[in-house]
Amino acid sequence: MPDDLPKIPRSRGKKNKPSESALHQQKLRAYKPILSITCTLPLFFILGAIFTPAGLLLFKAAQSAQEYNITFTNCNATGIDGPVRGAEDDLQKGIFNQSLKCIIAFNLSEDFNGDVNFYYGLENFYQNHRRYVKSRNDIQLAGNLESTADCDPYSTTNASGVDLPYAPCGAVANSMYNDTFKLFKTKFADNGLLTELMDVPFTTDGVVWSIETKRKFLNPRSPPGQNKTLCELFSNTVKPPNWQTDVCKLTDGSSFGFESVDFIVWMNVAALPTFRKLYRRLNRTSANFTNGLPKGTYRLEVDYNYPVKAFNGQKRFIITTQQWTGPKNYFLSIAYMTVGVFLLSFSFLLLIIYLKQLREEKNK
Amino acid sequence: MAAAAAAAARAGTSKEPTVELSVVAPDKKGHHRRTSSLWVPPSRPTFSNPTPIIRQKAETSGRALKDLVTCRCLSCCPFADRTSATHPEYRKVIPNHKFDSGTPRYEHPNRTKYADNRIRTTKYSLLTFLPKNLFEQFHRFANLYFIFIVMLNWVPAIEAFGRYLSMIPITFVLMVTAVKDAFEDWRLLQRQVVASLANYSKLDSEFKPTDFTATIECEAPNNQIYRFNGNLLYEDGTKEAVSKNNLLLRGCEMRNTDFIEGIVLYAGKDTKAMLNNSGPRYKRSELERLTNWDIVWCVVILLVMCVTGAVFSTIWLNAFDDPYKVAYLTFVEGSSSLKPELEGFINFWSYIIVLQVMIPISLYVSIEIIKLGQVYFMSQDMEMYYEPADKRIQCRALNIPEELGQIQFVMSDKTGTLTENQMIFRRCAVAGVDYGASSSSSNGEARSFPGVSGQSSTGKPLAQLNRESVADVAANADLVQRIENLPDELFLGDFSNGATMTSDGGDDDESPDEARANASDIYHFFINMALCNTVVVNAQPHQDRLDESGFFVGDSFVTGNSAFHVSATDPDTPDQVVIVNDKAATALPYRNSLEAPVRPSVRLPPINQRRTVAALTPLETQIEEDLFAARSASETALKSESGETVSEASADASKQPKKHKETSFAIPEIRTTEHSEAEDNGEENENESESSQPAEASTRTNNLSARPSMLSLNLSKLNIKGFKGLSPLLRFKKGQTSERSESPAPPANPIYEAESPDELSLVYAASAYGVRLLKRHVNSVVIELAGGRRQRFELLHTLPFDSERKRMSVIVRSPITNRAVLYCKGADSAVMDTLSERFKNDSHGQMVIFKSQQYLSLYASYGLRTLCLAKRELDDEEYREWKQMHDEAEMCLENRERLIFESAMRVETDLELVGVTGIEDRLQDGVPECIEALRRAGLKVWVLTGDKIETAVNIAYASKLFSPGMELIQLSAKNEHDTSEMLDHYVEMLENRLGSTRASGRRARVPPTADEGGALLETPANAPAAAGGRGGRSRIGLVVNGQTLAFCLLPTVEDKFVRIVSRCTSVLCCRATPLQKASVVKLAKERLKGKVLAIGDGANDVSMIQCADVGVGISGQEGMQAVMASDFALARFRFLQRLLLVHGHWCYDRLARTILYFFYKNALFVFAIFWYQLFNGFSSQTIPFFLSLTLSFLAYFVFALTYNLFVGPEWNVKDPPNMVAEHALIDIRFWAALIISCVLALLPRFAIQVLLNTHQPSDVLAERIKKRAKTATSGPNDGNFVKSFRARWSRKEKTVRIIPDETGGNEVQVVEASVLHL
Repeated sequence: MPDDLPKIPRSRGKKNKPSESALHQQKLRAYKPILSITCTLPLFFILGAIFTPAGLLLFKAAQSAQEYNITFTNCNATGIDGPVRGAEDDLQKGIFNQSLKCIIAFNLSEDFNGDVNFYYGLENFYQNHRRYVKSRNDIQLAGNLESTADCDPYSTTNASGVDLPYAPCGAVANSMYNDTFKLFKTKFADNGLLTELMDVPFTTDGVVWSIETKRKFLNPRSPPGQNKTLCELFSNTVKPPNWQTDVCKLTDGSSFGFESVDFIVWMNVAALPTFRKLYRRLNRTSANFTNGLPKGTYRLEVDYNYPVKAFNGQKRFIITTQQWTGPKNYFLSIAYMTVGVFLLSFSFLLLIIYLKQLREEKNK
Repeated sequence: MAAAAAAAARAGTSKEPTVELSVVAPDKKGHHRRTSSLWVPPSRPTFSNPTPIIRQKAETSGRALKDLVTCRCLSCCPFADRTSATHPEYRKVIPNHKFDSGTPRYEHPNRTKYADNRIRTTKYSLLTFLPKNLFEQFHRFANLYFIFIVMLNWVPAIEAFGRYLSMIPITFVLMVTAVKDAFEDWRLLQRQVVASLANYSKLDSEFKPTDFTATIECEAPNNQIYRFNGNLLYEDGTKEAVSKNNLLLRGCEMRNTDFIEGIVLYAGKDTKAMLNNSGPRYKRSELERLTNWDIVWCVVILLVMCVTGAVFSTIWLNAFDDPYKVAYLTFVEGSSSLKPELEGFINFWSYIIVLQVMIPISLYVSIEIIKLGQVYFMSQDMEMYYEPADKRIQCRALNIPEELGQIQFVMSDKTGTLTENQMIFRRCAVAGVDYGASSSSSNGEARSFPGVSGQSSTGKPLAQLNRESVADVAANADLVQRIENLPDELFLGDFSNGATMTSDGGDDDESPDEARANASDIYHFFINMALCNTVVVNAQPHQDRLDESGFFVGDSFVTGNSAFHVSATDPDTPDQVVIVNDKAATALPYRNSLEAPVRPSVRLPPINQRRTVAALTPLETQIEEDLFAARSASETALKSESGETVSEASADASKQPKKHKETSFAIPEIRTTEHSEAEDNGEENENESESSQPAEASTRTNNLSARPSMLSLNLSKLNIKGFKGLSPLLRFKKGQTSERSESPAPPANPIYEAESPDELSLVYAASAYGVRLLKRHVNSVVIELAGGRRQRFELLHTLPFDSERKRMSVIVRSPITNRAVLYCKGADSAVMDTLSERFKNDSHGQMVIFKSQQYLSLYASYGLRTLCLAKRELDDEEYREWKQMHDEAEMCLENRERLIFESAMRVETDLELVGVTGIEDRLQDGVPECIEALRRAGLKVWVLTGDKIETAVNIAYASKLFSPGMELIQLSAKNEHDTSEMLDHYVEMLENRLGSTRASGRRARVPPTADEGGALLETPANAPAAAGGRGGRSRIGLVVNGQTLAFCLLPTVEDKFVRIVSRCTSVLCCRATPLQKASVVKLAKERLKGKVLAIGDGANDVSMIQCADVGVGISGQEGMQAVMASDFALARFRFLQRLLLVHGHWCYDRLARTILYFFYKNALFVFAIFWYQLFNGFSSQTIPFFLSLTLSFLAYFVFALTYNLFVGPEWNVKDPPNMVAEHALIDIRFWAALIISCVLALLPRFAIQVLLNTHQPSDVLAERIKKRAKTATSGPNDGNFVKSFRARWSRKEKTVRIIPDETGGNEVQVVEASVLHL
């Protein structure tokens, strides 16, 4: 009596029926290659064909970027007009006074066209040391002078019985690079006499990202109604122990204190122990330098303040032009060329194997 | 409730009791036994922690009980009598009403120690949420690890990442989890609120539980579901045993039951269900185990790196002559002076933070999520959805999907797993005469036996298969005739005393004696078929009479099961003819397995059958002492109403003419008139009044039950002992008016519901031959014989089936001879051994035994399941003796199971064989294809069945477990020694063969040949078999029977057995007990070192399923127990192919890739940081911009848009992400670096892979190349690339193949050509 057995009524529906969409049935179209010669050979070849010229292109660009590198750790190596002594040694012994200058003459053999950047470089300076990197307070740098957390061991100092904060606090700020540079275009008469000394105009425009001047590095603001000077605002603080100038007098020429570009650049710690930091850029609004630095003789004057002997450091001044690939750097181009060449040679190897296989198959 | 709480349950819904209650009266007769199956564990949810769902279920379903218990203080809350010296582990439950309602909890004996029934669904309150939730979350190891790192970061000297920055990930994880938990809890709260809107004030208060004063002594709460012992202690000192048969577990669903009355024994968290619920199953997969080892290695690497870094930082700092003058060193003479060793130590911890990623804690979270996704997509697979039953695959274990791809052994049950478990009665041999299904059956479809062709069963369209049902019996015309012509002496009393009888004329050859013997056998054969079972007879599918809020719809209900309600209905007319309309048919023909849970479906009496409660109540009050008086009164009452009923019933029937026409074979219509009904009743009443057993009276009352419950909810003795005229607890919706009810009529087409399909098929078969089981009550069975004759058998005992005895018996009192007769049915081995000597020596007996055995093997060779039916007539004296011992056994508190078993063994002797039956169990569709695919994929399929060898072998051929070319080894031995010798012989044989193959120098690596469809590539399953197969010898199949298997599994012999088994492609174990199945699984797991999948559908497969690496349950005819124990539940066996070969492969492949990628990614990250230490003085500094860059690109579009809105000067961000990103994006160098990094990252892998593929191509690739070569020959060579590229995109078939490896194990690969599936 099968019909008397109750059946599943229709009304219940198929509520458990799965969706038939491609997603639910895992039938979305996809391509899963099996890595065989026929599939990879073209891929490798095409990639190689792209990478090798790309590497060459990058190389060309890097090559066309110009760079002039002056190491002045021991001034005397390049000295023409300046102190011919071991400047660094004297600095370590503390016999230099503040006005000591290192004067270096050099010759640019070709024009530096376009934007010209001036860097200072340090070697063997571990700005990336963990404890060093940490030793700063970004809140203080944004204008809140009282905030010195994390600045150990340079957070506060005991001056006449009162704990005063360092401004700026922390090891990064304390170790700020304080050599200053001036560059002159020189002209000499045939007899070797200096006939002309022209200031190469520097600008701080574009040295730091705008976000840093706008948000991150701010001097304390004068309370409304009071018109305090910067030094008054910093009056309840102490300059870091290694500093020679007060922070309110620290200037790049246009801005002071925390907002000074030199300070900001230094506070952006470098990732590797050998680094260069952008110091100034060429002001191309000036009539003689609209096209960049013309070739010729120059004189670099350095206010020599920063000791590097303790860590076997080196100091450099670098003049570069900018290409579309950035300053002169061969790393990427070499990487591209290497990979490209490898891909090409590998694809040729594969081709040989493939042809061999074909022949074997035919012989069969 | 003390005495009784009326628990109302709904059919097929989630209404379940929240407490576990004992049904008041013990089930003396054991009639509806097998209640080990009573328990339906709360269904485990598929995707989440079950606890909330259980809670919610409990909360929504058990309200009737809960509110009764809590509001009316009716409950006997659990209570342990701790002072009881004799049974320290027992507890006493005393009716609550014996105590003052104001008794404080600590003084209330029921409440001192055990949980009450209060249900709190929500986990948290507003106040406790945060601490409690966090506390719970901190229990996870991953979270603790994160917290530890974060805490390290807060030590200033160690700090490596920004303090706050490092908190982001863990905060995020905790927050998300908390929000999820809060949401779940909130939903529970919502439900709770809805529930408490329900109104319980309108309760009928006729119910007087205070009349129940007995105490129950039972076990203290424990988690043993299948065990319960207790005693009912009456006030007069008498005791009655309460067993598991009287216990309703929490989570049970009741079927065919309007309500129950019981005593709460365990409540709340003390319930067995709760004690058993230890959260979701957690299995550890092989992949996870490997991953854990990898992680251990990661820890080692991490520690090595940290120590290296720390040591080098010390060395580096020591190298300075004057460190205080070095500008970048932060040491100042004095307070913070430089101590390089201390710095090294600090750096060590700092390194732990910096390099923490090396230990991929997040891997676990990711894998969990991936697996969830995989499980979800698995359940979404259309190809594993079974439309007729609307069932998709149910993934119960969430964390082992990848294990499916590693399966080497498939252990399958046969019945219900490979087969439909739709038993169809095919043949029988009564008294040595075979009766086959006649080809001229009304079905009109000549069927062949499945074993013969192996195709007939599978080739049919599904719809057609479904139309055939268990009731679809093709009756043998000859046999039908014989039954119809049974001599009248059979029904007139002493038949065996040699009264002459008329020959039926059809068989002229038969001598009168033989004919009489045959007639007697035929009679007993069919009576046995109809009687010896636990089938429940219904007039119509049960309907739920409760509405959503637990009220009875309508104004009456069936009170037959009530201990408190003494109804006056006529005992033989409660079943009604009803129209089975489509809606009513929602209740399926529940067929519960032997061990299956009883799924309740509360049945609605048809509307026109309602009885007026008001009319009954006065009657009930009369019934105080004299139940007989009451009965006669009620009879009178009913008879006065019955006239109406009949007319209506017949009218109903006339609306359904079509149904009758469609019936595929003729069943004699029951033509009973009101007159014959009454006569019948009268006759029975007489019989009963003659038998003056004390229980009889109450039995009669209980027989009022319209549909006797399978739960044995009869409450016989209590009516007399414990209660004085109680009325049932009724709960009606206000405003409902009573209707006049009509008296019921007997069912025209009774619906049978049985625990096993075998029983059902036998009952339907008997019915087809005109021997119809009309009614089954607790203590009696009414059977209608051909010609409308009815016989009422008093049911004395039911000795339920168990797998040890392999038979079941009923003892009835024959209405003719008034003697006790035992009817036994069981496996041939179980019955043949118990035949009486007299019968064996008797000439008729010898003939019957001889012929029956012949037919048994014949049936088995057709693949039919065979059963032997036997009977034994018991002398009064014999019976009395046995009964006494049996009663004692039943009363025994301890060891009761054993004693009852022995008691059954005692009475099941000296049997006389009546006949044998052959039942067909059709193979499920797609089974042969599935098994073949699995075998081709290198999996070994073993079938473990309880069937006899011939049946099993036949099914094995039909299901392609064995192929015709396969060599079969049959192991059968009588003792250990023989077994050992036999195994020795086979080991030698197999190893010689293997040796010769090896000697021929042919490695078993055979080039694959694609079959026609290109879908399956056949390669030999393993090396030796491959050698055999390809070398012209067949592969080997093994057949073991249960007895021999037991010897094979002995430690002394096991080694040899393993050696043989490991060389067989297919193994078939017959006559295996559940425990043997489990030990075979264990053998494969431990000795063959394979991943084992066990698949089964019944309770006898549970141990095997639990033992296996992956357990699969078939949600079929049998109950839910296999599914409950399983990790995956399938609707059909054939889905296994897709589950293992496709999903298993995908899951494993993807997870393996994910894990490798994780380690690779982390190693890249960590090593980049580690090498950077060379450039920063080993100061454990992380790469600058690294985090910033990573973050920038994740957060760029968010931050860039909102940066100016919320980034104030006080925000401690060293490099604003959007600035970094902005500068990076416009910088050509960034892109150049990015591209080359990608290429460099992929290049080595590509290059190596290509070289490997070229030098040593995998078989798949070789096949591909070959195919391509074919296409290439038809065209010019230079077009190859394009062509193969195109071909790859257009090809869609999946390729399954096997790569035999050196060790003989197999690796299964499913390679999808063009369609990559996620």
